[in-house]
Amino acid sequence: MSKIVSIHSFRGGTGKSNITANLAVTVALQGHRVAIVDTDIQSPGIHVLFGMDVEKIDRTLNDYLWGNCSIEETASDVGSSLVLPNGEPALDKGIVYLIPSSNNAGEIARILREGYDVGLLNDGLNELINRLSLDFLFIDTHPGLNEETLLSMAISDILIIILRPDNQDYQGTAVTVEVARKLAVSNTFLVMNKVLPDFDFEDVKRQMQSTYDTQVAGLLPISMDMLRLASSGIFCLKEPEHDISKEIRNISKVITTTE
Amino acid sequence: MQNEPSLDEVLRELISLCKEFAQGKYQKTEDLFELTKKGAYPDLIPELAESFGMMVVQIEAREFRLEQIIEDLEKTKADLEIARQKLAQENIRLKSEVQKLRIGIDHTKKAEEVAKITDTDYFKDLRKRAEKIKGSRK
Repeated sequence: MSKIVSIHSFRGGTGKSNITANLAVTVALQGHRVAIVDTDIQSPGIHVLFGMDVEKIDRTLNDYLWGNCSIEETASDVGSSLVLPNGEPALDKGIVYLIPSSNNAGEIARILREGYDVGLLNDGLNELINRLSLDFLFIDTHPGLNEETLLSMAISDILIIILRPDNQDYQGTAVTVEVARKLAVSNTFLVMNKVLPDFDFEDVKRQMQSTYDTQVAGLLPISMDMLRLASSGIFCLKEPEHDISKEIRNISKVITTTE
Repeated sequence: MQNEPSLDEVLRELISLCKEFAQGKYQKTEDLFELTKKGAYPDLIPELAESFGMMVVQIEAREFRLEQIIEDLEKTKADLEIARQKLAQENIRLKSEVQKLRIGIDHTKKAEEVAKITDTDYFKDLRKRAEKIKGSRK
């Protein structure tokens, strides 16, 4: 059975898109069929990690939401161009599709002004799962708790909330966890990103678990290596033996083994 | 035996040697050992020179040992300073960890913020639809 995985954070700048892209690719490396939908319509960005030039793409999620095309037509195969450090294709059986949002200022403004039918988004996601025979559909959401984010939370089988070691994130995450509970999201996990390496990770994990009464899927250390890559690729493919890549694999296991 | 120095001369030499040794100068020990030759000097001089010689050797040996002890102590002192600095750094690190690692939540504010979202019609409707939505996918 296919699963919808929403990656969410209360505030921007948590590294959500980066984690989403790395998780999706890591799951695809295990032979799964995966798609990423960029529902961060107000500030899309995940396509950059896949080296995709949105200006040159005919169809985006916006076109589907305005009834200009089917959702399937907006999906691009970004997995086949992924390579291992030795230059060989990264994916064998696995597939990664990306459904980008428009980067066009006019189109973003139109979405903000007119809004869109979130029910249509839900229909589109279901259609995508069926037409592309997906195992996992990742949703890269807009930060905060607006309507489309609440929808993506509501329809998720797995919700991953990203936070940083930051007081504003602590508070916002508490709100998000509570809202998810009220939406009866069955599997909610926390991931803390940008953790200082000299922290006691086990202690942070325990504190998170007890404070939020929510399972912790992983802790990612802040890393100069990650910053150096500066969003110009998928970190896990470039540095497969890095601590961050290993932890991403651990988190991906949580996703693939959750029933 | 005609060249045998007088007792007076030999005693003066012994006095001058003792003054040198008292200042920690041991270069002239060979001159002292020369005076220990039996039969070459008057009366008890060789025996006296022998006693002085033994004293000089013992003092030299003790000084050498003390130098080694001081060297060891200096090294231990340097090691302790390095350990002390490490400990100070570790203390700073642990202190900052304790400060940064407290996940604090304002529960009253949280309840308000949650209510702001969950009290909306959209949320109530979504909650009702959520089950159906998930069910329809299976």
